[in-house]
Amino acid sequence: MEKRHSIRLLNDKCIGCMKCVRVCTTEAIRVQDRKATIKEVKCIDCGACVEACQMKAITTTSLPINIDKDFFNIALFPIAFYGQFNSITELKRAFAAIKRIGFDYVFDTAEIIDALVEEMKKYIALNKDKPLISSYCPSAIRFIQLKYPSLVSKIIPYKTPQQIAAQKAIEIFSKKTDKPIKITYLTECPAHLTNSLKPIGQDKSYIDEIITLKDLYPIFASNYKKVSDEEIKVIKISHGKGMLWTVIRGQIKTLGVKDGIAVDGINNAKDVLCLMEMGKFENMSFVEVSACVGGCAGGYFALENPYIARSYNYHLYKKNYDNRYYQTFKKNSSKYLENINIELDEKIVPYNISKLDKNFLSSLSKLSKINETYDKLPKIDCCGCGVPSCRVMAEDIANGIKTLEDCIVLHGINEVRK
Amino acid sequence: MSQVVKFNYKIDNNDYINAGKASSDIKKILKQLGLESGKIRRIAVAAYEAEINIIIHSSGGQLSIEISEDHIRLIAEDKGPGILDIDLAMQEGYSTASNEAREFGFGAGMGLPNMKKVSDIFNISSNETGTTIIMSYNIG
Repeated sequence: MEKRHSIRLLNDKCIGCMKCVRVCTTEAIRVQDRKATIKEVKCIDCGACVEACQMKAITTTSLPINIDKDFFNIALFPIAFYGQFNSITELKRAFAAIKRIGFDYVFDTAEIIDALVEEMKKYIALNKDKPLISSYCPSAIRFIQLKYPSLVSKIIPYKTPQQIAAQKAIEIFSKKTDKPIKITYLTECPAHLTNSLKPIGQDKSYIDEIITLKDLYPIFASNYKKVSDEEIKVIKISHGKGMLWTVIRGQIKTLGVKDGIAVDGINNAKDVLCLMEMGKFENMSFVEVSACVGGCAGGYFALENPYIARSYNYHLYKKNYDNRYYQTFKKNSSKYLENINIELDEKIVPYNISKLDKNFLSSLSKLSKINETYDKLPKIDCCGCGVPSCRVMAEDIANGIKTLEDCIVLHGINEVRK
Repeated sequence: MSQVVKFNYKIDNNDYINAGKASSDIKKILKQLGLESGKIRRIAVAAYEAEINIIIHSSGGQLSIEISEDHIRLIAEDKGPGILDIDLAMQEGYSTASNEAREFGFGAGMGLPNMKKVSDIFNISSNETGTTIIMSYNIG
């Protein structure tokens, strides 16, 4: 499988502590010779390791801010930003500040969400394989592909709002400019970064450039101060419900489903998905999963604390929402999306990484070996060997990656590090 | 080759907090063996129902999974009052669960019928000292 994540390790900064190994939900990280490594296929871009690393040795792909004046440059407003500002004026100021950086237009992603929600409602009403899972969080989707293969068919096969917004922006502005159009997403998290480059279930991405919010802040901040009242006045934003998607449960609110579950934080998602696999929640119609605590507002590159963001988002929505605007938009939403293909090009497929060996019999004999080895290990999950747990250590030993001699409890740290 | 790999899980009565831990571990093992996901689901559902039954109806017991090259067996053994009338207990909706269990959302009377539905061979025996359920699945 090709490289599909944006998390990067800086080898010279890594001191080989076990913080990242411990927090990784997919057990993708190992420490060998006092340096961490990430197993490409297992990484879901959740960002837990980035947050855990005290040495700043884990980061994300850095992308240069690249605004080429030969193009008509459109920025898609980051979804997490709808939770970072406390008033409509400040939100519009943010639009204006992004524009100032050199964009010709800043597209309101929330508007797309309102249209997408109408299509999702139809899909949920027609589909019987309940509960259906939102396709919004790319990290959650990757997690399901890797760990919960039986749930893959429940994912609503629609593109993310970012991908749909990019198409809509191209549709609108290709009539208004002769220049070629370049779409930039200002991303709040590593997962949306990856998904903007290589979207899950799509042949190609409609997004040309990506700027992470962490790279944006310095230039954004200096422009934010300079925005004039005139510049704010010309900014038009949608008055619908789309901005609610910033925060966990926002999807359920916009869909208006009464029997929905919203789960945030990848470890909580693990519990819910595990129960779903055992046939729980079949009386529910929709499940919203966000890898980040608090939803996109808790994205790794979002600055505001996600709980404060929730409060900001709620007040902003209350002040900004206009029922007449929303009802009219809703009525015209199919027309709004008529030239846009919101469905994914390809089926989302499971990647079964759990399998121990090529077939059942060889896996079974490996399992029996793993059990024997596990019994010899101390079972205290100290991670001293660089592996997340004694159980995983037994698996790594069975796979020939490690040996019993690597256990620092059995053999002493000095012996192992010799 | 006739190796059998066995995993045992001790289940305590009234341990609602840990309900589902054994069966989710079993599910994880089955995924490692690369079983087809429909089969995994059926075995996991059976394991979950069996685990819950031990928690709410018995005074404690054990859930085991035995895996060999051609079949998988789930064995739920408990100590407790046993089931007075098995035929009645096998009817959908019949339950002797306590009010407490029902308040926690358990005890809908679907456990045994569900277990039977999702297993290839279902065997139950019970007397006044406890109950044993064996559910078998063919592999191949």
